[in-house]
This record gives sequence, structure tokens and C-alpha cells, in this order.
Amino acid sequence: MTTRPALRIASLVLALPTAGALLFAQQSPDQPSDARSGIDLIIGDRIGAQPRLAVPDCLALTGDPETLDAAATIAQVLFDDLDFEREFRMVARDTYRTIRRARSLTDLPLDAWQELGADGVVSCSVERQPDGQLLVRARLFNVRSLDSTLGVEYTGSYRDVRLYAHELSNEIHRQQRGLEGVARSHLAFVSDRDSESVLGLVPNRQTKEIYVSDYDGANVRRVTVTRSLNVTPAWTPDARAVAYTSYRSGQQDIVISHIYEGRLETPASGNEREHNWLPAFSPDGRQIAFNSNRDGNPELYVMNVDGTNLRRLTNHPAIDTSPTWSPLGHQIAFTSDRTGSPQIYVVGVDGAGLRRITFESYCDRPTWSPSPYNEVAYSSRTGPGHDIKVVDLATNEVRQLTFGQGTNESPSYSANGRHLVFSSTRGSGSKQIFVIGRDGRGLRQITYIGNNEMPSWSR
Amino acid sequence: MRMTLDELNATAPLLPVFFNYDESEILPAGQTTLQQNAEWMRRWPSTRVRVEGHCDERGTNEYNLALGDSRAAAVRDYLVSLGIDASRITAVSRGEESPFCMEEHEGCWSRNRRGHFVVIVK
Repeated sequence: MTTRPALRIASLVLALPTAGALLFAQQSPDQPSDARSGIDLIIGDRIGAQPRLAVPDCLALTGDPETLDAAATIAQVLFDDLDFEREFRMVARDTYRTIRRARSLTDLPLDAWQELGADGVVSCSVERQPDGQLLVRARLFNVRSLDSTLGVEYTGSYRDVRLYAHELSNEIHRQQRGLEGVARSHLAFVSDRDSESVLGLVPNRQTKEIYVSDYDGANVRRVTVTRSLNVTPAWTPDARAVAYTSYRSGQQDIVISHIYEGRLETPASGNEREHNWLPAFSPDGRQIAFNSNRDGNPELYVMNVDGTNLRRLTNHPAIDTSPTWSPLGHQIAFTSDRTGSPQIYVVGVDGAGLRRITFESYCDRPTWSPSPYNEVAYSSRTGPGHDIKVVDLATNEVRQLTFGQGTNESPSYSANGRHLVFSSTRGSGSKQIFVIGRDGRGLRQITYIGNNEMPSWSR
Repeated sequence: MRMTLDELNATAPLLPVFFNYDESEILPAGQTTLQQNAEWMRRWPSTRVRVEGHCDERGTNEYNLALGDSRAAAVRDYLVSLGIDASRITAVSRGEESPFCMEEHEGCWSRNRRGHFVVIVK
């Protein structure tokens, strides 16, 4: 095992506009065990099967409806977060009813949980504080050693109950599995859910706006209110701003929306003749690769985020589009139809070393994985529609993640590289956002209202 | 002209031109249409138009933004070759984002693969 401190003191500033509150994760006063005592903090046998975890409802220490609601919500969200990374085998929540409820945060029937097959149990309590804030306490118990291996406390607004569960999930993954979870990440996407038929020169033209949500689809918030067309959102690496293609002026230009400050920038300075679209941030957040027609046809350019230091990356009479950066920012993958059909290419950010990496009928929207994976996901025509595929850049091996259910487009990786988000018309025929593991397992539908597409997953 | 711009556009004074799948070449039928449209623009020299490049839904959203740009530019360039002042034409892609026809068959797709004209100044 690795020795990690059982508890950590963290002060987290929430990057959410609605939750200006501070969230404190504090060391509990009666910390039961730590790495230095020699007690094994890692639950489950160290080789072989995944540890099995149970997450019963939190204990509500005050009886008001909001706290009772928080007790159930936190446990369910935490269960879903832990299930999502597939590092633990989750003991189904509907099997818990035979087990006596905990009397306190630390008084729970561990022998009964062991009998149910759990290796670990998350025990949590919630209570309303005199100032109206919610206090959340949580412990992770090893049912065999009877040790508490992790303990945290969060205090904050009732609005953020899902966030406490997400942070607890991240803590458990970090301590138990050495994994950076993505439970606190966000999605940005395009939706027509609030579409208005706008009167104007072209009658009944539908609008599309940019939205952001939590990684699991909760807490959807609208970013643009332009009553026009807004497409291709892309998070900044610090997840504080979204760049997108806006038609507000009647033609396309790139807008950066600093969503927590309400500030807009248009660094590419488009006009009636020169249009800019499809922004992609470099991994350090300092540069944007994008599409522009400023030299007569769709070419790729790179500029600093403030619009200075513009360089042309491609120079070909065919279409060059869909840029994505390598994890260290030295290379860019993109789509070109220079051979007569759209295919994916990789080129150095200095324009040197061009090579083609796909050899199929129609490929677009490459997305470079974060390290340690060295692969590019893309949308490939496989029949009447498209499927999500991944090409390994070391071996050139291609693997397919979706198989002909609807059309599947616009893949984007989670920060830890273990998941992809994409749009699909499977099922209802409407376009919705789905996530899937990089191994093709664990499909989850994220959106249900209207049509939703072109997702971007924040770091 | 006493009509508002909305009323004028509702009469569709300039006809759309249609494209083959994944192509931005002006076809012979489109050349005839654009000659008629150029005639109209010569008759009304104060007008300015926007050409929108549209695509069918079978391509990807991202690639179609570029394809629509190539189509709009091809329409603009053809009108310029017929003697229309380039400053009277704005070309803009709408990719596959604003389809005219929502069904899934070639009759519908072919209507969506088009250069669409909007009069923006009369």
C-alpha cells in the first residue's frame, strides 16, 4: 500500500456563481487512525477483486425537511459518483433495509455490513447549524478492521448538497485508489431547450444557446441569452470560462464568456467578411487554436487568448478544421478533406511534421486525450450515421466505443482521461448528451430536454 | 420599394442554389439561378445580401461549419465573377444548424445543402 494521510485539511473555494460560500474540509477531533499508526487504511485486499462499498443514507441529526432531504441526496449522489469510476463494486442500495440504522456517525453495525458482503461502509451525518448552514460529517469504515480510514467535515449552504457528495467521492478515490475523480467537473453543451422562433429576415429560425451543468447533468445553467445561434463551446483549462462560436452579430465570431464574472471577450475580432469559429484552448490556457476564413477558405490559426500573436497553422485550398491540442501543447490534431474526404491529421504547433492518422470514409472532431493516455477520439462514419472511435497514437490501433445506435458525434475527454462525453441520437431520435468509459463500458445519459449537442468536459 | 425587409424577404426575390453531398461546387442549375440573382442585384443596386451556406445533417456539426463556409464563399465568388461588387455580399456559414427540412431522406437533405439568400439592405 501507499501511505497517504487519512485526513487532510483543505479549504476549497467553490467555483460556482450560486455558491460563493467557503467549504471547509476539516480534520475531525477524534481522528481514529492514521498512516503513521501502521493501521492499513486501504480497504479490500490489495490484489485481485475490487473492494465492495456500501453507502447508506446519512443520519439526519436535525429533523427539518431540508436536512432529511440532504441525508438521502448526499448518499445517492455519492453512490453514483463512486459507481461512475468503477474502482469499487457498489453494494446495491436496495439491499440495505435489513441492516439496523447507525445510531451515530461512529456507531454502526459493521458486522451486519460485513455479512452483506461490504468491505467498506460510508457513514455520514447531516445537521442544521444554528446559523442555518448545513454541517456534513462523513467517515469511511473498514468493516474488517473496524477502523475509520477517512473522516471529513463540510459546512455550507443547503444549495450545495450535491457538491459535498462530489467532494467526498473525490477524497475517497484519492485516498483509497490514488485516483483523481471528476465528480466536481462540469459539462458545457449546446441546447435548443429554450429555443424561441425568432422573427426576422428568415422566419421561424430556431435558436441554440450554450449551457453548463455538473458532470452528471445536474444543476443546468444557461450561459448565453442571445436569441441567436451559439455553438461549439470549449472550457478554458481552469474551468472558469467557456469559449464558443456566436452568431449574435449575424456572422460567426469567437466569444469567451467568463461565466463567474459575467464578462465577455471577442479576441479574434471578426467582421462581416472575416469569420472565426471552433475555438480550442491550449493546455496552459494561454492560446486558442481556431478556424477562420480570413485568408479565403477555412484554415486553422493560433492566437494568444487576448487576440495577439496570430499565426496561421494550415495552408491548403481544402477545408482544415476541428483543432485539438496534445496534452503538452506541442502538437495539434485536426480534420482536413485534402484527400477528398475528411480525415484526421496531426501537425506540430509550428506547422511542421504533418501526418495523417485516420484512413476511413469520413472522420471529424478529433479530441486528444489527457496524459497518461496517448490517444485521439473522433467521430467516424460507419453507416448512415457516425460512431465514436479512438486511435492509439503509439500503435495506430483503432477501437470503437459506439456501434451504430443513432449517430454519435463530438467526443470530449474527462480530465482523468477515463471517460468521454458525446452526443447521440440513439433511443428517442432527439440528440442527447451521453458519457461512456474509454473502454466503451458504463454508458450514461446526461440530458433529456430538447436537443443537446457539442459537449465539452471541463478539467 | 415600400416593403419592409421582412416583407421583401418573404417574397424570396433571390432563389437558393443547391449542392451535391460534401461539395461546394456551383452546379449548372446553380449557375443559371445565380445569373438570375445577379440580374436582380443589378436592377436594385442599393441592395446588399447575405449568402448563408447550409449543410445536411449527415456530416458532423463541426466539419459542416467549414463546409457551409466554403459553399457560401463559392456563391459569393460566382456572383462577383458575374460583375457584382463583392462589398454587396456577405457570406456566412450556418453549417447544419438551421435546416429548412427536418426529415431523414434525400429529398429533404438535398434542400438543406444550399446557399440561401437574405436581403439585408434594400
